[in-house]
Amino acid sequence: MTTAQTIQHLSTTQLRIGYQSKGREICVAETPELHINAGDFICLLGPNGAGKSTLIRTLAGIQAPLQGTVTLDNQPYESISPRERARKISIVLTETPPLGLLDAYSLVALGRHPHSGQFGTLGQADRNRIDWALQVMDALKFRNSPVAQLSDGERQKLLVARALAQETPLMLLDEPTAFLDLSRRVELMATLRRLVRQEDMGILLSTHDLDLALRFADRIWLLNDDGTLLKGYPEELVTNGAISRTFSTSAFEWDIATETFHIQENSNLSASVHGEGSIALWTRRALGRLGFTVVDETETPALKVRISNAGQQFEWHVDYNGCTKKYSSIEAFIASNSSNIER
Amino acid sequence: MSKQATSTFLFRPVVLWSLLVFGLLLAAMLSTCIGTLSFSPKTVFEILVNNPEVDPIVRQVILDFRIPRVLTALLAGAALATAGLMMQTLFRNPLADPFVLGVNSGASLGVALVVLAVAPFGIQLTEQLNASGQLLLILASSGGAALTLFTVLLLSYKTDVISVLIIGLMISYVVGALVSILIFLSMAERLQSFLSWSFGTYSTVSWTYLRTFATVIVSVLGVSLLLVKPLDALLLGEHYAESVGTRTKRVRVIILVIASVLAGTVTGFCGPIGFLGIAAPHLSRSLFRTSNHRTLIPASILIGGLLSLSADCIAQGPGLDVSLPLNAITALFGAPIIIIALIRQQSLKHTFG
Repeated sequence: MTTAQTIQHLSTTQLRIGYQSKGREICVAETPELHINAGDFICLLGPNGAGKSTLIRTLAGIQAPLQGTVTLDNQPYESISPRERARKISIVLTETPPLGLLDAYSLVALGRHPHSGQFGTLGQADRNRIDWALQVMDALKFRNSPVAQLSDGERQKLLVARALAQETPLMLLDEPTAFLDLSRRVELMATLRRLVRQEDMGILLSTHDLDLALRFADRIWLLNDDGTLLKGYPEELVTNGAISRTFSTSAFEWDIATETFHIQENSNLSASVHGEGSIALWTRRALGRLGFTVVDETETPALKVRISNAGQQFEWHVDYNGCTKKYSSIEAFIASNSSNIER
Repeated sequence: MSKQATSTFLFRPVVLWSLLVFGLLLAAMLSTCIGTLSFSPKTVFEILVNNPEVDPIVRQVILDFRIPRVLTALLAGAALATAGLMMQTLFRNPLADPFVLGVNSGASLGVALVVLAVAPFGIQLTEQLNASGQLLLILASSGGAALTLFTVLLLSYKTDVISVLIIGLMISYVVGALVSILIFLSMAERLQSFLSWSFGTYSTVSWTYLRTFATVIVSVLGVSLLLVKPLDALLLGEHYAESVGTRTKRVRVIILVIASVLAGTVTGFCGPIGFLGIAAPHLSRSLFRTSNHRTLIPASILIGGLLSLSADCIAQGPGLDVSLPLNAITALFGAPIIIIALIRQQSLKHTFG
């Protein structure tokens, strides 16, 4: 940011979040002081049930924290009227609302409520903002369609456009990428990141897309199963092992080097791959999927693979049980070696 | 391309609004002219412009019976339709109607208590329902409606919106059971006056009562127009509504009070009238193809009035000596209308999720 002093839009004291049930407090998580500043793109990561949605709802003011306060532009939530708050913070929730016979435009227009008068009449400024939101989310082409006829992905775009139409410096999104295919996820993350820069917004987004979050976010908030929250730069949390501690279980392991998960099937069959580039990476993956533990060549694995590049053609040379075999396609290589492991 | 889109976009509502207003005027005219005695529209017009040559008896029939009945029908239909629309939006339930909170069963308990239990012990309630008897009925049913409403509202502040729906239903069952016991224990001739109340009718509201009736309904309908924005916001569910600045809890209570006052007043004056409150909002949605309450509230008011007038026309049975039970007519015609509207709307799931 060009200004030396960052604008702190939302900040909290230490929070205890959770809900009341039959007069008892059920605490889901305890968080340290949190801040969302102008120009921050923060991703909230954590396993299912860690309390990501609860945290987002608490920060949005939909539910009160069990302990601690949330302040918006230095005003505690209790002293802000709902309308004023709605001009500062917009949300996209996981729940898909029943959208009825609304057309796309009317849905996005609902975002103008905090700015319009008693009967919700739209002025020129309102219509400009709605058009802008539809255009940013690439939703202009279905602006007149009934929402019920749109795909999940298109509907998700509209819900984000609705939040954008609300014209708030802060936006909280709860798993907005959940129903989208990969390219649309990347697209959404890229759009949001661009908005953070261009509009100087503060965005908090919860997601299960670990790799996307690590690539796009300025900061990560990592919510653990035990109800603690760690914050830091993505690279910091990856290299200090926090990410893999949060997400690794007895069956999975997060690999820093490849940014992927390994499925741990305690196999005594080990294999090594000698080769370079993406073809070697995918060969390792195939072996891992087939049940081999992929190790370094120095560890004398049972199966040794060497990939050679003869002109345009790759060849796989496999040492197994003392004999060497050669395959000229990855298909033949996988088909043959999947029977190896079955034996 | 976009120009053409906007012109067809505007064309349909304009035609619909004109048709509705025209239909409403036509139904009002028909309803004034047709009955056990039928008059020509010319006679009605002459009475309205105060032509002294008209037979004073005809004048009395038109001015003191027909016109109050038409106005009552219009207002009752508008009130039930608006209350139904609000309940459907609030509860996100296509079958929600003005009576989901038990308002009509409360009213019927009040009436049953007065007619079946109290009246035999000295309070004179003539079978012809004279003026004081009519007042007693109105007080009894409004009182019963208010009591159930109060109970449900008290409980509703403690739970979520779907539980309110179920609580309302359960209270209806309890109250209905009490009414059954009263009916079982009472004498046959008393039952007759309870039954005739439960058929519903617009013809017992005279000018004296109409003044109160109209004031309550028109002013509450006016207030309901102020709820356009919160109702629209509620289409997205309570969380999103809250996030665009709606005070959800307060709005919920206001909507419940408004709908119950509308439904309770109609039930108090005219007896329980079913189906209008479900049919009119569905028809408005299906005709105007929108979920926007800026359109739906006025549309429901007009369509509710139109349906109510038409039902009354049919109940008056042109060519018959007696009038049929209004409640039966609204059910006979209301249920198919709901079915047709739903099929046209194609999928309820999308509307109410």
